[in-house]
Amino acid sequence: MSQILQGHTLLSRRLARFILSHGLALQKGRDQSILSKMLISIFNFRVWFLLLACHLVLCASSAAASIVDRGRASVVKIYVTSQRNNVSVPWQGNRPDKGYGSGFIIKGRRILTNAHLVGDARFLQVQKDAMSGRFQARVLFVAHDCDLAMLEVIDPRFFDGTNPLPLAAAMPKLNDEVIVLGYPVGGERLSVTKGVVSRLSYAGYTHSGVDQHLALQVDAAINPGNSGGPVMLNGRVVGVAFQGLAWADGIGFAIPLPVIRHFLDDVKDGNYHGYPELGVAYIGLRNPAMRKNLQVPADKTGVVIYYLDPYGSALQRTEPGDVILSIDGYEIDNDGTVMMDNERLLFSEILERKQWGESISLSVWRDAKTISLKIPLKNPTDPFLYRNSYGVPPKYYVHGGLVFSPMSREYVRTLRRNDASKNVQLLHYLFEYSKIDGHNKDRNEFVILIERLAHPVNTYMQHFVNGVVETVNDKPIPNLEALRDALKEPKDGFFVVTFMGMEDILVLDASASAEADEQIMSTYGLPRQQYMGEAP
Amino acid sequence: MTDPGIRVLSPWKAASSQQVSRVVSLLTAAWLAIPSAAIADRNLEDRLVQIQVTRQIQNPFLPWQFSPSSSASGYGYFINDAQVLTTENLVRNHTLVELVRAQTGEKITARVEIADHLLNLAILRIEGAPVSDQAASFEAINPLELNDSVTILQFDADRKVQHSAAIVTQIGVTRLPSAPYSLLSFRLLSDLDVNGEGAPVIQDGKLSGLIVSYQSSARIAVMVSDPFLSRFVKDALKAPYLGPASAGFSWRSLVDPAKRKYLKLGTEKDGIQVATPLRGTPGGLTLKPLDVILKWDGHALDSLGYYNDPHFGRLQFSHLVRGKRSPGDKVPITVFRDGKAQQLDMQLAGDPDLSALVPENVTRKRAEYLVEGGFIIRELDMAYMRALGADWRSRADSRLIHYYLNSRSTDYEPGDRIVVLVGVLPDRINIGYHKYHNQVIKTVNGQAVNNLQDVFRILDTDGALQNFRFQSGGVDLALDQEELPEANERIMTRYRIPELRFQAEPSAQASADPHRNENRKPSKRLAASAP
Repeated sequence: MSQILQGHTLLSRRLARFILSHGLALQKGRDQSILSKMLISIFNFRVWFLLLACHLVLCASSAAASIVDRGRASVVKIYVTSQRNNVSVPWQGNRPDKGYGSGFIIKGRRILTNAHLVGDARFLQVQKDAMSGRFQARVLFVAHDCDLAMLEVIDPRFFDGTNPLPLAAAMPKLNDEVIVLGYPVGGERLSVTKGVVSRLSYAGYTHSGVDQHLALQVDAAINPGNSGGPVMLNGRVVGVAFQGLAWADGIGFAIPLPVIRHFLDDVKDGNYHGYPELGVAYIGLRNPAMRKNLQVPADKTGVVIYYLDPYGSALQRTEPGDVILSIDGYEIDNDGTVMMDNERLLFSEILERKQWGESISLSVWRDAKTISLKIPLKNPTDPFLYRNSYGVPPKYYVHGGLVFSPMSREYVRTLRRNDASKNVQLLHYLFEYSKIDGHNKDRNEFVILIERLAHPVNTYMQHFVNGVVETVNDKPIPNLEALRDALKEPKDGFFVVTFMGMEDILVLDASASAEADEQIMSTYGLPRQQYMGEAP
Repeated sequence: MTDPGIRVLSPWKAASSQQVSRVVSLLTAAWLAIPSAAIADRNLEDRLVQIQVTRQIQNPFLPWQFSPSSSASGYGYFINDAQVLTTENLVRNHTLVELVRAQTGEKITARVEIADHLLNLAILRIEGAPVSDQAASFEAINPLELNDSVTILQFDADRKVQHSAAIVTQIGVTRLPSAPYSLLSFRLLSDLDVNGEGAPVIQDGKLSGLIVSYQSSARIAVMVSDPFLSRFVKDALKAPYLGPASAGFSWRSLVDPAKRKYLKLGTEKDGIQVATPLRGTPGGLTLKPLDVILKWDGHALDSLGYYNDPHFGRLQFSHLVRGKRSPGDKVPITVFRDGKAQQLDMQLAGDPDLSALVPENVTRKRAEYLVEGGFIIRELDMAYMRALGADWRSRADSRLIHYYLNSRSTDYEPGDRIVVLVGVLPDRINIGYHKYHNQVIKTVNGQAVNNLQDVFRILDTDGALQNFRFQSGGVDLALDQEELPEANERIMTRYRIPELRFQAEPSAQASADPHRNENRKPSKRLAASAP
């Protein structure tokens, strides 16, 4: 679901982003806080998200025992060798990392686990409890926006003697006792822990950095290795353990049933499409003066559309100032909530249950009357959303020792927020406001000069580093491909590059820079001059 | 130039400082009588005076509040019986300025007559002293040279005058410690620690300069000297004070051979490249990006922006503007544009900050503001962001930072400012809006807002501010017009706001900026809360 829709307003979205990025930093070990350093140093794993810790005493009841037996057969340990991309040196990856996590067998000889476990996997193996053999697996589907992934095992004999774990029919209730199965640190074998459902609410999914969905909170502590393991109630799966709060006690999160089901439904046609985006930021209709301005009668409740995302489904079908009164028949309260399954949830939960390509019905108050709108949920891919990216290496193009690469969340995060450089501050601004302030128009990415591989041909160009390319020889540069093409046609023997917010121009002597490239690539060990995202 | 920020900050403080001045007026008379008219007889030690300043700084986020008062001390130099030369930085944001005599410790109140943050110099006048138009006994001073020996005057712990020997170790154009402007300054290596800014530096029985900063670990003091001192005193003694000249553009060195070739310049290492001509300044009127300046005011510039000064040798050419010229002067420049050299004249002007979209406001001049229905509204300036601390870039909104850093290349008309909703003081009237802050206000009551004066005008015309639209959204945040007067009263009382509106009186400085003077009305209480 859209991060825009789910934030109450842009402000809260930014807050959410802050919290999310903090969580992300912990995961990556980039955060400077003592806490995170400590965690990283104690658990030298890249994947360590959630788990629980409370009562290790197993319940003696036969029901529990049977669950554990089932788990022993169906909850698997996943060994991962992964390699993060290096956004600063885009032609090489970081040092490969080893880690492990959990997963469980579902219908159709598949394994369900977390996307964060396998997102950058180079080599994957799975192992059943008490079995010595490891089987090679591969990723079938990965959903970075909801941190779920489906694996298949190359040798089907792996599934001999296993039973798929069934999904529960309904969400658990608060205080329901659940158990969590998985392979956290502290030992080799399957671990079982127990707790209760503490809360059902929206949470940022730190894996993508921008998405929010429902999350099931259980009173479990956080340990690496539980990620991807099932949270079970009465022998059925009610969630997939995936993340925790590093600075709190007894708060662990699991991906709940609706999100799991959404993923499983989505991939039925052999592709993962992701959540459709409505692309609406709203204000609750709480202020009487605003209600009066919009001539909304006292008996109506709803939310006011404040901003429409240029990549959302609602664009051109709704307008700022429209009051959304109901969605698919659910009446929206002034705080943006609806009653659903006996829970008070944000109205975006209705969109959460939709697949890309479906539609929703809105009842909207516009020009002092109620109108009905049917909105097909077919938003285009949003290149300015800046999810964390996994698997695919960053695109780059090198010319005259100048390395150009598109803006990404990973790249912006390598730049200090307090950096005194004007170029860096512009990047932080564009990262946050490009769509709201209209800088996305006429381009589908921001092409950044990320690095100068020092060579006499570019000696006086350091101050352009981290600049966003605007034009080359007066041609606008909407993306990296356009830059590459423009840097093939010199004008009067020169390439003149302009950058956003900079009056200065970068001038490359075309013949000198072409000559220099071969030498630069050999000196700096570049395997190739460009990577444009083609499949390996 | 009367800087509004230097004047009394509020009626309450006005009253108290008037009382103070009445109390000390007897003292003044007595004090002036002692050395009588014989200023010429006074030796240099007699001209040294300690200055104690009490200051308060406006809280940029709750602009009706001020920081707890703090104090600082430094030195000044009597240029005549009534006037004292010191640094502007010392008397910034003062609520009270007192002069302290050597040994006796007598204190007397002074007021700031002229303060110039571009030069970091100020002139104080003893409260109650008659204004004489004689240019006093300030003699021109001899420019110093490298390795010259000088003496720094200051007080020791017993308030006796102390002489510290120092030598001139470096002369160059460097950034002032108190403002982001560069000036020709002198570095001195001092024998003793310098214990206050404004300490006079003397040589051969004459004033040579004032200390503007001091680094105790290296015993390096930075001094401002001529041409600034003599010109400042001379200009300050005849109204109106115009301040130093400025041209208004940023530039880059021009050493990149590829760029020189592209611009069709020779390989000779000459000329600098104009980067950004600043809007609303002489640079903006005369220059274009990518102009190459070959000669400035009769001096050839090398590709790093240096010229050969007849007295000081190699100096950055900005000295030719600030050090040699006054606002209004026309200077000849040779510009290489479109492949050929052209002669241009540039008429220099004063402080370029006045025409900025986001002013630096280095002096932290008291900002105008408005509180309506709990919405705190003001213009964005650099003081607003720097108040967040050394890591202000991490804490400020990235869009506001962007406006500040790129304001000169943003499209705007002179006089435009960024009008910001600082935040919302929660109240019944603004329910639903409490979390809005750091929003850029685009319209109020459906009318475009380009600066705070627009908002004042809309308030005065419409009687209330009831619809606000921000850059981020397409819906007005509305306030109940009928409830506004009562809500304003309630918010004033609950949040203890003495004034819901602060609009500076038109001042000499503001009138230099015609746009900002338009439609300016005398300050008054919010129309909505008037009977």
